[in-house]
Amino acid sequence: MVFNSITIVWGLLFIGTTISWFIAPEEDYLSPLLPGIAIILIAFLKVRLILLYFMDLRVAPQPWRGLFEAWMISACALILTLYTMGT
Amino acid sequence: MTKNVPIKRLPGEEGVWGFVFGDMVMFTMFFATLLFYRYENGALFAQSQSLLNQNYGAMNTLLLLTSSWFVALGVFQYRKGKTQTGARLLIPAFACGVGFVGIKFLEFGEKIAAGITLNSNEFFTLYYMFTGIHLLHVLVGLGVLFFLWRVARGAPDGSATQTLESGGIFWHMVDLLWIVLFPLIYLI
Amino acid sequence: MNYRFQQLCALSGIALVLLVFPLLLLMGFFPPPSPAEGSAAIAAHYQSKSSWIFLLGGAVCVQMSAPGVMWSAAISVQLRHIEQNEPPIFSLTNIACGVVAFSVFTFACAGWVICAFRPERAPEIIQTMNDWSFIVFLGTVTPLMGQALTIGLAIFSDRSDEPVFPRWAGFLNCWAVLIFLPAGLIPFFKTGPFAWHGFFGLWLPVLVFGGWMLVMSVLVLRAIRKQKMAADLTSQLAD
Repeated sequence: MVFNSITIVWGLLFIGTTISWFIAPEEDYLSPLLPGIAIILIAFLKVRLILLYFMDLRVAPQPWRGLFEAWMISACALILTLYTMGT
Repeated sequence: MTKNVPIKRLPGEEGVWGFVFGDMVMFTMFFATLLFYRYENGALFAQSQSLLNQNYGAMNTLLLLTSSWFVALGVFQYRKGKTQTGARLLIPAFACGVGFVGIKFLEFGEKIAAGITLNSNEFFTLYYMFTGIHLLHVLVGLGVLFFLWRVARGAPDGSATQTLESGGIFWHMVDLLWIVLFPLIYLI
Repeated sequence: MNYRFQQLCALSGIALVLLVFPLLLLMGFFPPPSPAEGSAAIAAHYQSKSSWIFLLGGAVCVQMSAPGVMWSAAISVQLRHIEQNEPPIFSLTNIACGVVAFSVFTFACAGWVICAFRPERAPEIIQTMNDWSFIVFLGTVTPLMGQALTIGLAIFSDRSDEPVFPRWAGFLNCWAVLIFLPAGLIPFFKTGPFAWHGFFGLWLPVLVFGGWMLVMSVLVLRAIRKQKMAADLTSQLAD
């Protein structure tokens, strides 16, 4: 298979998913704060990789790239806030 | 490796980026709703969440990631002029998407068989609605992939490249939204 | 040519939004009484304000089908420009969906008038009529989705050098289809964000509907102006 940046990114996404899967608690109580925060941060790192390398935003002009990066940061902040409030 | 790309260029067409942004805003509201209800009734959430099968969610994440990877590779090859390779790479991408739908139906089927339905509790309402609306995006995306495959097999030209990029962006968005939805529903 | 009337039709879409939204607000339907409320609470909603607000508001809303259909017709005329000599499937589907969508809207509003017509009657009857109104008002969503989808697909099919509508409008219409969708699911919920007083059942679809109507009206007005200018130019050259 072609070993280009796309494939490397796919590998990283795969590893990220597997890590989240394993650190997630399976018991039926609210998960402790830290694993949850780690899982959310991993998810948004994956989002960033997809935006930049799969959707090719890294070659896009700044206003468009900025718009999506701004969405990413605000969505991540919103989710982290609500998550911390609820834990 | 795509080495230094000289000019800044928005891949695909502007409209598709606007659409994708709108959809991402809508899903952000879904994420916030989910976490707000978790904040209001954490115990119920944790208890209901433990009834979900994390493995289904994780397998589906991997399927969508892999599908997205094939699409990205396909568009990459197509841009390099290897249009037929590009078209062929869309076939495994489509297959992964079908796999996602299959697992989703299996999962919904198990839940319904266990007596867990739309109105079982607040958590399951949101679970069915949000994953259902996402599933609808996957189904639309499969249609898009089929259309891209037909375009890619045809005569190559500039507008075909743009169509491939635009469709690819939609499919990556479907992947991206699932990547956030998956941990919020299944993991945390 | 009939540009003036076309403009009037496009403007009636704007007029509809500017009339209906304040009236809904005035009648206390933003948000409406929860579907989980008992019949007494629902009846109290219609008895609380002077019933003439509901009578007047409902009666004006009931008359909004004609402006809605005129607005749809103005869009269909533009879709006809996109189709050129192709079979007119886009323009036909759009106007037919528009007729259904705004007729249904009238039936929904009539329910509010009926509730307020005899507010002293048994609360269960008022509740039934109120249920009818909201399930028809928000739940009957396929005509509008059909309109937005048709307009979206028509815009994508426009391959001329000077497209009638900008392409982003095509994506806007497709996005609107997705936003309208959850409103169709309100019969399954009495509480939560997907119920008829919830965020995804009421607020998002209704507000996007209003915005979508305004944007489409403006785009139609712009298209008409362009066509009028082109026609004027041709007739000047002919002289």
